[in-house]
Amino acid sequence: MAIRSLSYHDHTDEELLPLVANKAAGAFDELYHRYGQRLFGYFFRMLWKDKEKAEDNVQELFLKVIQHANSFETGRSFSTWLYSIAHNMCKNEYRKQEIRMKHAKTITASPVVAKEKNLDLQKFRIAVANCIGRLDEEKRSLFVLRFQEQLSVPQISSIMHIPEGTIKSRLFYLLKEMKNELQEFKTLHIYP
Amino acid sequence: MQAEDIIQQKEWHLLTDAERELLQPLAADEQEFNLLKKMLLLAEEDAAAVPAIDPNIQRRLQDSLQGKNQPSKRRWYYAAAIALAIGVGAAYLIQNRKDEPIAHEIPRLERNQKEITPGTEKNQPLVITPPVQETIVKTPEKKDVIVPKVIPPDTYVQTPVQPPIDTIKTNPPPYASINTMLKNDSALMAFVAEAY
Repeated sequence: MAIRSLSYHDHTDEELLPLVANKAAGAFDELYHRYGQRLFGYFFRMLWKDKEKAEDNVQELFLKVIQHANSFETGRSFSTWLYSIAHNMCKNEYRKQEIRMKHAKTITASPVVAKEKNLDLQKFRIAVANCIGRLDEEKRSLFVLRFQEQLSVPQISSIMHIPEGTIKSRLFYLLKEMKNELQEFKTLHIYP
Repeated sequence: MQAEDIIQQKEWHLLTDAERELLQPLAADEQEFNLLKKMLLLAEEDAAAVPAIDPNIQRRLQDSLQGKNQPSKRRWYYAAAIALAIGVGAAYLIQNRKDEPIAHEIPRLERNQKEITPGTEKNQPLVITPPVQETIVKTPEKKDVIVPKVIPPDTYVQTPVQPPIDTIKTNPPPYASINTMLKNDSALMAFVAEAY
Protein backbone atom coordinates (compact mmCIF):
# COMPACT_ATOMS: atom_id res chain seq x y z
CA MET A 1 0.00 0.00 0.00
CA ALA A 2 2.86 2.36 0.93
CA ILE A 3 4.76 1.49 -2.26
CA ARG A 4 1.72 2.13 -4.39
CA SER A 5 1.07 5.51 -2.80
CA LEU A 6 4.71 6.52 -3.27
CA SER A 7 4.14 6.79 -6.98
CA TYR A 8 1.35 9.30 -6.34
CA HIS A 9 3.32 11.33 -3.84
CA ASP A 10 4.02 14.18 -6.25
CA HIS A 11 0.48 14.40 -7.57
CA THR A 12 -1.75 17.22 -6.45
CA ASP A 13 -5.10 16.45 -4.81
CA GLU A 14 -6.93 17.50 -7.92
CA GLU A 15 -4.79 15.18 -10.04
CA LEU A 16 -5.42 12.26 -7.73
CA LEU A 17 -9.17 12.52 -7.78
CA PRO A 18 -9.73 11.34 -11.39
CA LEU A 19 -7.46 8.41 -10.60
CA VAL A 20 -9.63 7.58 -7.60
CA ALA A 21 -12.63 7.69 -9.92
CA ASN A 22 -10.85 5.03 -11.98
CA LYS A 23 -10.42 2.90 -8.85
CA ALA A 24 -6.69 3.49 -8.47
CA ALA A 25 -6.04 2.16 -4.98
CA GLY A 26 -2.70 3.96 -4.66
CA ALA A 27 -4.21 7.32 -5.50
CA PHE A 28 -6.91 6.78 -2.90
CA ASP A 29 -4.32 5.80 -0.28
CA GLU A 30 -2.39 8.98 -0.98
CA LEU A 31 -5.50 11.13 -0.56
CA TYR A 32 -6.43 9.28 2.60
CA HIS A 33 -2.90 9.71 3.92
CA ARG A 34 -3.17 13.46 3.34
CA TYR A 35 -6.62 14.05 4.75
CA GLY A 36 -7.75 11.03 6.78
CA GLN A 37 -6.28 11.96 10.14
CA ARG A 38 -6.76 15.67 9.52
CA LEU A 39 -10.48 15.31 8.87
CA PHE A 40 -10.79 12.90 11.75
CA GLY A 41 -9.35 15.67 13.95
CA TYR A 42 -11.82 18.14 12.53
CA PHE A 43 -14.78 15.83 13.18
CA PHE A 44 -13.40 14.91 16.59
CA ARG A 45 -13.25 18.56 17.68
CA MET A 46 -16.51 19.52 16.06
CA LEU A 47 -18.50 16.53 17.29
CA TRP A 48 -17.97 16.75 21.03
CA LYS A 49 -14.72 14.73 20.98
CA ASP A 50 -16.67 11.58 20.22
CA LYS A 51 -14.12 9.23 18.59
CA GLU A 52 -16.63 6.76 17.14
CA LYS A 53 -18.78 9.49 15.68
CA ALA A 54 -15.72 11.14 14.17
CA GLU A 55 -14.57 7.85 12.62
CA ASP A 56 -18.00 7.13 11.21
CA ASN A 57 -18.09 10.56 9.64
CA VAL A 58 -14.62 10.20 8.14
CA GLN A 59 -15.63 6.89 6.59
CA GLU A 60 -18.85 8.36 5.24
CA LEU A 61 -17.00 11.36 3.87
CA PHE A 62 -14.45 9.26 1.97
CA LEU A 63 -17.24 7.07 0.63
CA LYS A 64 -18.79 10.23 -0.76
CA VAL A 65 -15.45 11.12 -2.31
CA ILE A 66 -15.30 7.70 -3.98
CA GLN A 67 -18.87 7.93 -5.23
CA HIS A 68 -18.71 11.53 -6.45
CA ALA A 69 -15.11 11.66 -7.66
CA ASN A 70 -16.39 12.09 -11.20
CA SER A 71 -18.59 15.03 -10.33
CA PHE A 72 -15.77 17.10 -8.81
CA GLU A 73 -15.53 20.52 -10.48
CA THR A 74 -12.12 21.02 -12.02
CA GLY A 75 -10.59 24.33 -11.01
CA ARG A 76 -11.91 24.09 -7.49
CA SER A 77 -9.68 23.28 -4.52
CA PHE A 78 -10.07 19.66 -3.42
CA SER A 79 -9.36 20.44 0.24
CA THR A 80 -12.03 23.16 0.26
CA TRP A 81 -14.49 20.76 -1.36
CA LEU A 82 -13.64 18.12 1.23
CA TYR A 83 -14.03 20.53 4.13
CA SER A 84 -17.31 21.88 2.80
CA ILE A 85 -18.71 18.32 2.72
CA ALA A 86 -17.38 17.78 6.25
CA HIS A 87 -18.88 21.08 7.37
CA ASN A 88 -22.30 20.06 6.04
CA MET A 89 -22.03 16.69 7.73
CA CYS A 90 -21.27 18.43 11.02
CA LYS A 91 -24.31 20.64 10.51
CA ASN A 92 -26.45 17.52 10.11
CA GLU A 93 -24.94 16.04 13.27
CA TYR A 94 -25.74 19.23 15.17
CA ARG A 95 -29.31 19.08 13.94
CA LYS A 96 -29.62 15.47 15.09
CA GLN A 97 -28.06 16.37 18.42
CA GLU A 98 -30.45 19.29 18.82
CA ILE A 99 -33.41 16.96 18.36
CA ARG A 100 -31.91 14.48 20.83
CA MET A 101 -31.29 17.27 23.38
CA LYS A 102 -34.89 18.40 23.09
CA HIS A 103 -36.00 14.95 24.17
CA ALA A 104 -33.28 14.15 26.67
CA LYS A 105 -32.92 17.59 28.27
CA THR A 106 -29.55 16.59 29.68
CA ILE A 107 -26.23 17.88 28.50
CA THR A 108 -23.24 15.74 29.35
CA ALA A 109 -20.37 17.59 27.82
CA SER A 110 -17.20 17.30 29.83
CA PRO A 111 -14.07 18.73 28.28
CA VAL A 112 -11.23 16.31 27.69
CA VAL A 113 -8.05 18.18 28.47
CA ALA A 114 -4.49 17.07 28.98
CA LYS A 115 -3.22 16.98 32.58
CA GLU A 116 -1.02 19.91 33.48
CA LYS A 117 1.58 20.39 36.23
CA ASN A 118 0.75 24.05 36.47
CA LEU A 119 -2.67 24.19 38.12
CA ASP A 120 -3.45 27.64 36.82
CA LEU A 121 -2.64 26.56 33.32
CA GLN A 122 -4.77 23.45 33.85
CA LYS A 123 -7.70 25.63 34.95
CA PHE A 124 -7.20 27.91 31.98
CA ARG A 125 -7.08 24.97 29.60
CA ILE A 126 -10.37 23.66 30.98
CA ALA A 127 -11.91 27.12 30.77
CA VAL A 128 -10.86 27.46 27.12
CA ALA A 129 -12.23 23.99 26.32
CA ASN A 130 -15.51 24.89 28.04
CA CYS A 131 -15.63 28.17 26.20
CA ILE A 132 -15.21 26.42 22.83
CA GLY A 133 -17.72 23.78 23.89
CA ARG A 134 -20.35 26.41 24.60
CA LEU A 135 -20.04 27.98 21.16
CA ASP A 136 -22.88 27.33 18.75
CA GLU A 137 -22.32 25.29 15.60
CA GLU A 138 -21.48 28.25 13.38
CA LYS A 139 -18.99 29.88 15.77
CA ARG A 140 -17.36 26.61 16.68
CA SER A 141 -16.94 25.80 13.01
CA LEU A 142 -15.32 29.16 12.45
CA PHE A 143 -12.99 28.74 15.42
CA VAL A 144 -11.96 25.18 14.52
CA LEU A 145 -11.40 25.95 10.84
CA ARG A 146 -9.42 29.12 11.50
CA PHE A 147 -7.42 28.39 14.67
CA GLN A 148 -7.18 24.62 14.71
CA GLU A 149 -7.25 23.60 11.07
CA GLN A 150 -5.29 26.76 10.25
CA LEU A 151 -7.32 27.48 7.12
CA SER A 152 -7.23 30.92 5.55
CA VAL A 153 -10.17 33.32 5.47
CA PRO A 154 -10.79 32.79 1.71
CA GLN A 155 -10.84 29.02 2.24
CA ILE A 156 -13.29 29.32 5.14
CA SER A 157 -15.41 31.64 3.05
CA SER A 158 -15.58 29.01 0.32
CA ILE A 159 -16.32 26.20 2.77
CA MET A 160 -19.03 28.01 4.70
CA HIS A 161 -20.41 29.93 1.70
CA ILE A 162 -20.08 33.22 3.55
CA PRO A 163 -18.36 36.35 2.17
CA GLU A 164 -14.79 36.96 3.32
CA GLY A 165 -15.65 40.28 4.97
CA THR A 166 -18.32 38.57 7.05
CA ILE A 167 -15.85 35.86 8.07
CA LYS A 168 -13.33 38.47 9.24
CA SER A 169 -15.95 40.37 11.18
CA ARG A 170 -17.28 37.20 12.80
CA LEU A 171 -13.79 36.10 13.78
CA PHE A 172 -13.17 39.46 15.41
CA TYR A 173 -16.36 39.29 17.48
CA LEU A 174 -15.75 35.65 18.31
CA LEU A 175 -12.32 36.46 19.81
CA LYS A 176 -13.80 39.36 21.73
CA GLU A 177 -16.56 37.16 23.14
CA MET A 178 -14.09 34.47 24.20
CA LYS A 179 -11.75 37.02 25.75
CA ASN A 180 -14.62 38.42 27.83
CA GLU A 181 -15.50 34.95 29.07
CA LEU A 182 -11.89 34.30 30.11
CA GLN A 183 -11.37 37.67 31.82
CA GLU A 184 -10.71 36.05 35.21
CA PHE A 185 -7.48 34.54 33.82
CA LYS A 186 -6.14 37.91 32.74
CA THR A 187 -4.10 38.47 35.88
CA LEU A 188 -3.08 34.88 36.51
CA HIS A 189 0.52 34.01 35.86
CA ILE A 190 -0.06 31.38 33.24
CA TYR A 191 2.28 32.59 30.59
CA PRO A 192 5.56 30.83 29.92
CA MET B 1 -2.58 41.16 8.36
CA GLN B 2 -5.62 40.10 10.36
CA ALA B 3 -5.99 40.85 14.07
CA GLU B 4 -5.74 37.14 14.94
CA ASP B 5 -2.58 36.81 12.83
CA ILE B 6 -0.96 39.69 14.70
CA ILE B 7 -1.88 38.10 18.06
CA GLN B 8 -0.53 34.72 17.04
CA GLN B 9 2.68 35.92 15.42
CA LYS B 10 3.80 38.96 17.38
CA GLU B 11 4.62 40.02 20.94
CA TRP B 12 3.05 43.06 22.58
CA HIS B 13 6.24 45.10 22.76
CA LEU B 14 6.92 44.48 19.06
CA LEU B 15 3.62 45.86 17.84
CA THR B 16 3.58 48.95 15.71
CA ASP B 17 1.27 51.86 16.47
CA ALA B 18 -0.95 50.90 13.56
CA GLU B 19 -1.23 47.34 14.83
CA ARG B 20 -2.02 48.50 18.37
CA GLU B 21 -4.72 50.75 16.96
CA LEU B 22 -6.12 47.85 14.96
CA LEU B 23 -6.15 45.66 18.06
CA GLN B 24 -7.53 48.36 20.38
CA PRO B 25 -11.18 47.10 20.41
CA LEU B 26 -9.99 43.53 20.93
CA ALA B 27 -6.99 43.86 23.24
CA ALA B 28 -6.64 47.21 24.91
CA ASP B 29 -3.58 46.32 27.02
CA GLU B 30 -0.80 43.79 27.26
CA GLN B 31 -2.72 41.52 29.63
CA GLU B 32 -5.65 41.16 27.27
CA PHE B 33 -3.30 40.69 24.35
CA ASN B 34 -1.46 37.91 26.18
CA LEU B 35 -4.72 36.30 27.25
CA LEU B 36 -5.83 36.03 23.63
CA LYS B 37 -2.40 34.83 22.57
CA LYS B 38 -2.40 32.05 25.14
CA MET B 39 -5.95 31.07 24.30
CA LEU B 40 -5.06 30.62 20.63
CA LEU B 41 -1.90 28.75 21.56
CA LEU B 42 -3.88 26.33 23.74
CA ALA B 43 -6.40 25.84 20.94
CA GLU B 44 -3.54 24.88 18.63
CA GLU B 45 -2.14 22.46 21.21
CA ASP B 46 -5.60 20.99 21.66
CA ALA B 47 -5.81 20.43 17.92
CA ALA B 48 -2.65 18.35 18.04
CA ALA B 49 -3.99 16.23 20.91
CA VAL B 50 -6.34 14.14 18.79
CA PRO B 51 -6.32 10.32 19.00
CA ALA B 52 -5.25 8.30 15.98
CA ILE B 53 -7.96 7.17 13.58
CA ASP B 54 -8.80 3.47 13.40
CA PRO B 55 -6.61 1.96 10.62
CA ASN B 56 -9.42 -0.44 9.64
CA ILE B 57 -11.33 2.46 8.17
CA GLN B 58 -8.78 2.80 5.37
CA ARG B 59 -9.03 -0.92 4.62
CA ARG B 60 -12.81 -0.79 4.54
CA LEU B 61 -12.71 2.21 2.24
CA GLN B 62 -10.27 0.42 -0.05
CA ASP B 63 -12.66 -2.53 -0.19
CA SER B 64 -15.55 -0.31 -1.15
CA LEU B 65 -13.36 1.44 -3.74
CA GLN B 66 -12.50 -1.88 -5.39
CA GLY B 67 -16.00 -3.26 -5.22
CA LYS B 68 -17.60 0.06 -5.88
CA ASN B 69 -19.63 -1.15 -8.85
CA GLN B 70 -20.59 -4.48 -7.31
CA PRO B 71 -23.71 -3.25 -5.60
CA SER B 72 -25.00 -1.69 -8.81
CA LYS B 73 -24.23 -4.89 -10.79
CA ARG B 74 -26.01 -6.91 -8.16
CA ARG B 75 -28.92 -4.55 -8.37
CA TRP B 76 -29.13 -5.19 -12.12
CA TYR B 77 -29.00 -8.93 -11.59
CA TYR B 78 -31.78 -8.73 -9.04
CA ALA B 79 -33.88 -6.54 -11.36
CA ALA B 80 -33.35 -8.99 -14.25
CA ALA B 81 -34.27 -11.95 -12.04
CA ILE B 82 -37.44 -10.21 -10.86
CA ALA B 83 -38.41 -9.28 -14.44
CA LEU B 84 -37.86 -12.88 -15.54
CA ALA B 85 -39.95 -14.23 -12.68
CA ILE B 86 -42.76 -11.81 -13.52
CA GLY B 87 -42.60 -12.84 -17.21
CA VAL B 88 -42.72 -16.54 -16.42
CA GLY B 89 -45.58 -16.00 -13.99
CA ALA B 90 -47.57 -13.99 -16.49
CA ALA B 91 -47.04 -16.62 -19.21
CA TYR B 92 -48.15 -19.37 -16.86
CA LEU B 93 -51.29 -17.46 -15.95
CA ILE B 94 -52.17 -16.84 -19.61
CA GLN B 95 -51.68 -20.53 -20.38
CA ASN B 96 -54.02 -21.52 -17.58
CA ARG B 97 -56.60 -19.11 -18.86
CA LYS B 98 -56.69 -20.88 -22.28
CA ASP B 99 -57.23 -24.31 -20.73
CA GLU B 100 -60.17 -23.18 -18.72
CA PRO B 101 -62.70 -21.32 -20.94
CA ILE B 102 -64.24 -18.32 -19.38
CA ALA B 103 -67.83 -19.17 -20.54
CA HIS B 104 -69.09 -22.71 -20.97
CA GLU B 105 -70.93 -23.68 -24.19
CA ILE B 106 -74.59 -22.86 -24.05
CA PRO B 107 -76.57 -26.12 -23.96
CA ARG B 108 -78.78 -26.84 -26.95
CA LEU B 109 -82.42 -26.02 -26.54
CA GLU B 110 -84.33 -29.25 -26.47
CA ARG B 111 -87.71 -27.86 -27.26
CA ASN B 112 -86.90 -27.59 -31.00
CA GLN B 113 -86.82 -31.16 -32.12
CA LYS B 114 -86.02 -30.40 -35.69
CA GLU B 115 -82.57 -29.21 -36.37
CA ILE B 116 -82.32 -26.43 -38.89
CA THR B 117 -79.22 -26.30 -41.00
CA PRO B 118 -79.09 -23.18 -43.12
CA GLY B 119 -78.94 -23.61 -46.87
CA THR B 120 -80.19 -27.21 -47.00
CA GLU B 121 -83.90 -26.62 -47.26
CA LYS B 122 -85.14 -23.36 -48.59
CA ASN B 123 -88.30 -21.76 -47.27
CA GLN B 124 -88.51 -24.31 -44.60
CA PRO B 125 -90.95 -23.06 -42.07
CA LEU B 126 -89.60 -22.67 -38.68
CA VAL B 127 -91.64 -24.78 -36.41
CA ILE B 128 -91.68 -23.54 -32.98
CA THR B 129 -93.63 -25.59 -30.65
CA PRO B 130 -94.86 -23.59 -27.79
CA PRO B 131 -93.61 -24.79 -24.53
CA VAL B 132 -95.96 -26.91 -22.58
CA GLN B 133 -97.50 -24.72 -20.05
CA GLU B 134 -98.35 -26.12 -16.76
CA THR B 135 -101.54 -24.87 -15.27
CA ILE B 136 -101.52 -24.86 -11.61
CA VAL B 137 -104.95 -25.04 -10.06
CA LYS B 138 -105.00 -23.89 -6.60
CA THR B 139 -107.72 -25.30 -4.43
CA PRO B 140 -108.50 -23.43 -1.29
CA GLU B 141 -107.51 -25.24 1.76
CA LYS B 142 -110.27 -26.84 3.75
CA LYS B 143 -110.85 -25.13 7.00
CA ASP B 144 -112.21 -26.90 10.06
CA VAL B 145 -115.86 -25.88 10.60
CA ILE B 146 -116.78 -25.43 14.18
CA VAL B 147 -120.30 -26.77 14.71
CA PRO B 148 -122.08 -25.04 17.56
CA LYS B 149 -123.28 -27.28 20.34
CA VAL B 150 -127.05 -27.54 20.58
CA ILE B 151 -128.27 -26.97 24.09
CA PRO B 152 -131.95 -27.78 25.01
CA PRO B 153 -133.90 -24.64 25.88
CA ASP B 154 -134.89 -25.95 29.29
CA THR B 155 -131.38 -25.86 30.46
CA TYR B 156 -130.90 -22.21 29.62
CA VAL B 157 -132.56 -20.68 32.74
CA GLN B 158 -132.35 -22.28 36.05
CA THR B 159 -134.89 -20.82 38.47
CA PRO B 160 -133.73 -20.85 42.02
CA VAL B 161 -135.69 -23.08 44.29
CA GLN B 162 -137.72 -20.95 46.75
CA PRO B 163 -138.01 -22.29 50.24
CA PRO B 164 -141.55 -22.56 51.71
CA ILE B 165 -142.88 -19.45 53.32
CA ASP B 166 -143.41 -21.14 56.68
CA THR B 167 -139.77 -21.80 57.04
CA ILE B 168 -138.85 -18.10 56.84
CA LYS B 169 -137.79 -16.66 60.07
CA THR B 170 -138.10 -12.98 60.62
CA ASN B 171 -135.53 -11.58 62.95
CA PRO B 172 -136.99 -9.40 65.77
CA PRO B 173 -136.11 -5.68 65.64
CA PRO B 174 -133.43 -4.45 68.01
CA TYR B 175 -134.47 -3.03 71.36
CA ALA B 176 -137.78 -4.82 71.06
CA SER B 177 -137.44 -6.39 74.42
CA ILE B 178 -136.54 -3.01 75.94
CA ASN B 179 -139.58 -1.45 74.36
CA THR B 180 -141.88 -4.09 75.76
CA MET B 181 -140.36 -3.72 79.17
CA LEU B 182 -140.93 0.03 79.10
CA LYS B 183 -144.52 -0.35 77.97
CA ASN B 184 -145.17 -2.80 80.70
CA ASP B 185 -143.71 -0.60 83.40
CA SER B 186 -146.44 2.09 83.76
CA ALA B 187 -144.83 3.79 86.75
CA LEU B 188 -141.64 4.32 84.85
CA MET B 189 -143.58 5.63 81.90
CA ALA B 190 -145.41 8.08 84.08
CA PHE B 191 -142.15 9.27 85.57
CA VAL B 192 -140.60 9.78 82.20
CA ALA B 193 -143.64 11.64 80.98
CA GLU B 194 -143.59 13.83 84.03
CA ALA B 195 -139.96 14.58 83.80
CA TYR B 196 -140.16 15.26 80.12
